[in-house]
Amino acid sequence: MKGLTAPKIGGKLSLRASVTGEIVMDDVEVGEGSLLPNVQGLKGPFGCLNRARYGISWGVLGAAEFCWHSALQYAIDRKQFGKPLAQTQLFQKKLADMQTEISLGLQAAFQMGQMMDNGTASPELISMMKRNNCGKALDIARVSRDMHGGNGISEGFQIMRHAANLETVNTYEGTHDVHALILGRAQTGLQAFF
Amino acid sequence: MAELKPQLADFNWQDPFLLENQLSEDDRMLRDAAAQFAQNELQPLVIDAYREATVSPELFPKMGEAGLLGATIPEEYGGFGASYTAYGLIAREIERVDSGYRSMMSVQSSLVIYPIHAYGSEEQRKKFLPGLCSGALIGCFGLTEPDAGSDPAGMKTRAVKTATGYKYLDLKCGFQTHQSRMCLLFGQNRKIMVAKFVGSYSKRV
Repeated sequence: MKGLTAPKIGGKLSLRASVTGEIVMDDVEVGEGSLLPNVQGLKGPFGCLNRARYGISWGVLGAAEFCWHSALQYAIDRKQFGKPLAQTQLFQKKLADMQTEISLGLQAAFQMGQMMDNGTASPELISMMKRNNCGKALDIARVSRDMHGGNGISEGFQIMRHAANLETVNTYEGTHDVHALILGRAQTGLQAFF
Repeated sequence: MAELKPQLADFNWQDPFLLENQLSEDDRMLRDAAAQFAQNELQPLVIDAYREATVSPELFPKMGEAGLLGATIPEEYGGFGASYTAYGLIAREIERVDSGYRSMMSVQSSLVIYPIHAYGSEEQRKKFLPGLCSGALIGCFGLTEPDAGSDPAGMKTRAVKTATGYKYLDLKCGFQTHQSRMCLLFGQNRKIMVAKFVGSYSKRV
């Protein structure tokens, strides 16, 4: 298409396996037939984003589960001071936190899925779950990175990649903070966006 | 003596709420297929792909073949009418490997396929959806701009009505792979705060 280019955005330290392009338009023209006829205004993009955020709420728990299971295995395999790290209170506390947050997040995601399928899910509920599950997954990835010790920074253990990715996922499609404003408005009746 | 209720069962440490038992047979099948694809096809690629920041061009057609793109839309357009629960389970399995791969699936499914199905004409649906679902066509979505992130209504890109359609003024900053062949473009129309939702496509992008 004339005037439309999409150069690669370089320098990303996160989501590197998904290459991002910039859309540059120089007097791009589209025909009337390119207009999506059945929506107007920001309702369009928000309708899309709600579906994507719903998927993110589930997706991040997959990354979190990887980080949890990997930390657990590492804790069982790695022996320091004559016993497995898994036999320490600090590790067990962290593992219990991961197990709890992932289980709660999954059960809530499942309930939200049922509500999506029967038409009772709201955008605010999606905000709540996108926000909660991203924040919790990011925290789990960071803690898991810590539990892997020096190995945690190695690409082979994959934890640092998940943690770096989740930094983006916590921000894109509505940041953790902005989703809080959606929930704040829903309960106070007062918008605090601007 | 009467038995005390409720009885308690053994703990499943990996699945404390027994989510597995709550899923339908169809949802479980789609989840298992996604898990197999993610572990067999994506996991072997991801460490190198992440280090080199590359996307193999065959990845989208492979995802399409595995049924991961646009799963929720009806079969006549290339999906298979999967539930949103299944869509969520698929996302979880892909992101178990990498958030970037899940992002590619999400952009294609929720940000490109969904709006064309929900907001497009029948002609647009037939023209774009089968290719998007098979992965032959890679979609992208550009809402964010350098000065408009959390406040998308602040976008500077404008779509101005012309005799035959719309003309875009100012630049956009987009999202999805630079290998995209199809774009959803947004722009303010006539300086009002309402953004016209404009889809267009390109063979060269």
